[in-house]
Amino acid sequence: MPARPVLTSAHRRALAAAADRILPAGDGPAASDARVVDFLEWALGQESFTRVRERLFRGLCFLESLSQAMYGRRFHRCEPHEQDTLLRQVQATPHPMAQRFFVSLVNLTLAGFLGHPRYGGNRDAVGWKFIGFVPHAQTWDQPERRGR
Amino acid sequence: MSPDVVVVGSGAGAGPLALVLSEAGFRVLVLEKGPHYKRTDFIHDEVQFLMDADIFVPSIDLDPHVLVDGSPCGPKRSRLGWIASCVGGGTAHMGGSLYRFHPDDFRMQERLGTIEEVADWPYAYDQLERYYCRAELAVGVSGQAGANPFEGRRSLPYPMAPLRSHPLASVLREACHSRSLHPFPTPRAINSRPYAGRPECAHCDFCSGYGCPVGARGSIPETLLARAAATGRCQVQAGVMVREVTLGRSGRVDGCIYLDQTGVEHRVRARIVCVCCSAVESARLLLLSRSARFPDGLANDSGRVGRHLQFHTNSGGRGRFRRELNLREALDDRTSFLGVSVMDHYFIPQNVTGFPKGGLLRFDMLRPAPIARAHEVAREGWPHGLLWGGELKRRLRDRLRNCRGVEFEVFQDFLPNARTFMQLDPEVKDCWGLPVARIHLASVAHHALAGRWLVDRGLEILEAAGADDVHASAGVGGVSHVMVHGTCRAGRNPATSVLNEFCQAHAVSNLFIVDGSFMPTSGGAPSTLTIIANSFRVADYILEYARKGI
Repeated sequence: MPARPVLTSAHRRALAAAADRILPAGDGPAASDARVVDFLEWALGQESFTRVRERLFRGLCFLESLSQAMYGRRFHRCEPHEQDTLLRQVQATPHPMAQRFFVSLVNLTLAGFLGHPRYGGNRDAVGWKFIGFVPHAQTWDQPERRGR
Repeated sequence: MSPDVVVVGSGAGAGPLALVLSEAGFRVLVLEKGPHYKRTDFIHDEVQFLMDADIFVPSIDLDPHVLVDGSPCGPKRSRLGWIASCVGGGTAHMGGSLYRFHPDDFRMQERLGTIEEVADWPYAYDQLERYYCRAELAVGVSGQAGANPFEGRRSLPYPMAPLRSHPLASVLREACHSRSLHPFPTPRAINSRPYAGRPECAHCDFCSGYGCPVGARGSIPETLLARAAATGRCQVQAGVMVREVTLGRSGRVDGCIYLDQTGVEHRVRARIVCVCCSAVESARLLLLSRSARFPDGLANDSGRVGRHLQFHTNSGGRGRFRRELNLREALDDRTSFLGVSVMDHYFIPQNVTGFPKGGLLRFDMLRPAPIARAHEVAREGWPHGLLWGGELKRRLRDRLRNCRGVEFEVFQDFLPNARTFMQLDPEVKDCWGLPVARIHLASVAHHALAGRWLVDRGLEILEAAGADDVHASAGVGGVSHVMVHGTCRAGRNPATSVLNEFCQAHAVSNLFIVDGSFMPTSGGAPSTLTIIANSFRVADYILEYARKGI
C-alpha cells in the first residue's frame, strides 16, 4: 500500500538540505547521494511515525524562522556554512522540542543512509558500501521473498 | 465449558504449567494481555524494527510503569520492569542465554553473609537439578556439559552441542586461558541442529531483542505452549487483560475477571489460578484484587506483596578487531555467535565491596546492524550532543569499516533492598482504566563497585585477545530492564513471605504465583532457565496437590 505523500515541496527541500549537513559530501557519499529524503518521505508517512512527523514538522518551522531571522531567507537557500550555524543553533537550544527534533533529524538521516534500499534511501547501497557492510543474504531479503 | 486451571500470562513461568497440567488431563486456559505473534510477524529488518518499536514492550502512553528513582523530575512514565507483553513474554525476544544458577545462589545469606534484604531460598539447588534438566530438554538448550567447572551437579548433558562459534572465539578463549580462566560455550536456547521439529539456527544478524522468524529459538510459544496446544486441552487467549483474581466464599480463589479489547468484562471460573505475569505485573494483579478478606490485596496478609523487587545489575564493555591484524578471513565470517562465557568471577574478593558476590561475563559478537551501530557512533558526541557533519562521517568510517566489534555483558545480582519495591500508582492508569505499577528504585553501592571490578576483568580479557579501542560501556552497575524478580517472595515464614517453596500463596491454597516473583535473590546469571525449571517443579506439586482432591 503506497503511503500518501506527507511532505510538501518546502519540507522536502528543507529536509534534503539539512540531511546533507548531517552527512555532507566529500570523502564518501552525502545524504542526497543516498536519497535520504525519499526514505524520509516513506518513513514519515507510516502510521507509527505520526509523532515523529509532527515533531519534525514543528522543528522545521523553528529552523525556518531561525533562518529568516538570521539570514533573511529560507534554510535551503542558505550557504552550507550558514546552514551549519543554524543547525548548531538548534542543537544548542535547550527546549525539549528543539532537542528532540535534532535527535530525530540525525537518527532518521542515518536510518535513510543505512537502511535497506527497499525503503527509498541508501540508493544502490551507497551507505552500506561506505561502511563496508555486506547484508546477510538469507535474512535481509526475507520480507521481499515473503511478499511475492 | 470452564477450565480447571486459569494461567494468567504466557511466558517462562506459564509454559511449563500449561504443558504439564494439560498433559495430565486438566483443561487449561491461558490468558495473555498482549498479542499472539507468528513467526512471519518477526521481520528482520532494522527499518521495520524502528517503525515497530512497541512490538514487544507496550507504549508508555497505553500501558506504562511509573518510576520513582530519586531524580528531581519526580515520578515519570517508564518501561522499566517491562520484559514483553505478548504470548511468550520475554522468551519471544530473548537472547536465550540459559545458564543454571550456582548452588550458592540459593543460599547467599548462609554462604556470604547478611546484606540489605538478601535471604536464602526455601529450597536448594539439588531440589531443582532434575527440573533444570527438564527445562533444558523442553526448550532445547545447546551447550557443553562439564565445560564450566563452577556449575553445580548436573545429571543430564545438554540436549544439543554448542552453537557454531565465530572464529574469533578461539582468540578469546586463548586470552582467557592465558589468564588461567575457564571459558565455556554459552548455553543458549537456540538450536545448533534441528531439534524437536524446529530448524537449526540460520545465523542471521538479529537475535536478542528480535523475534525468531525461523523458530530456531526455544521461546515458550514455539516449545511448551505448542505442545500444550497439541493435547487439545490448552487454549491460549491473547489480547485480554485480567483485572482481578476473585475470591470465593471458601477463602480460596474461584477464577478471574478479564477485559477484552473492547473493554467488555468476562468472568471465568476455575479450580486453580496461576499468576505468571512477571514480577511487577503479577504483584500488581494481586494488589488490584481486593476483597473484605484481603483489603490490601490478594494473599497480602504479610504486606510483602510488591516488596523485595529486584532486577539484574548489568554492565558491559567492547573492543574491536581490525582487519590488518591478520584476521581477514575471520572478520569476514558471518557466524553470529562468539559464545564465550566466564564464571570465574562469580565470587569476588571480600575487599572489593565488602560483599563477595560477583557475576558472569558473556562475550559475543557485536551485531553488524548498520543503523544501530551508526546511532551509537552519533551518540559518542554526548554529553555535548549528537555528532553530525564531517566528524560523524569520519567516525562512521573509522568505527565501522574494516573491523568487527566484540562486546561483553556482565550479569550480577541486584541486591534486594528496602528502597526498591512496587505499589499501585495513585494517579496513572493504563488504557483499561486500571492503576499501573509504581516502581521505587534505589541502587546499592555494591552494584557499581562490583560492576566496575567485573568490567575491568572483561576489558583485560579483550586486551589480552588483541582487541583495540577497548572500553567500558556507559552505565557500569546499571539496572537491566529485562529481568524482574522478588515481589512475592517465597519463604517458610508466612509473616515475612507471600509464597511457600512451591509458589503456593501461604494464605490461599489454590493460588500460585509462578514467574520471577518468588525469587528471594535474583542470582548472578540470567534467570530465565531457573524460572522455567521452577515452574516445572511447581507443576509437579500442583498435580500432587490436585490428586489429593480440592
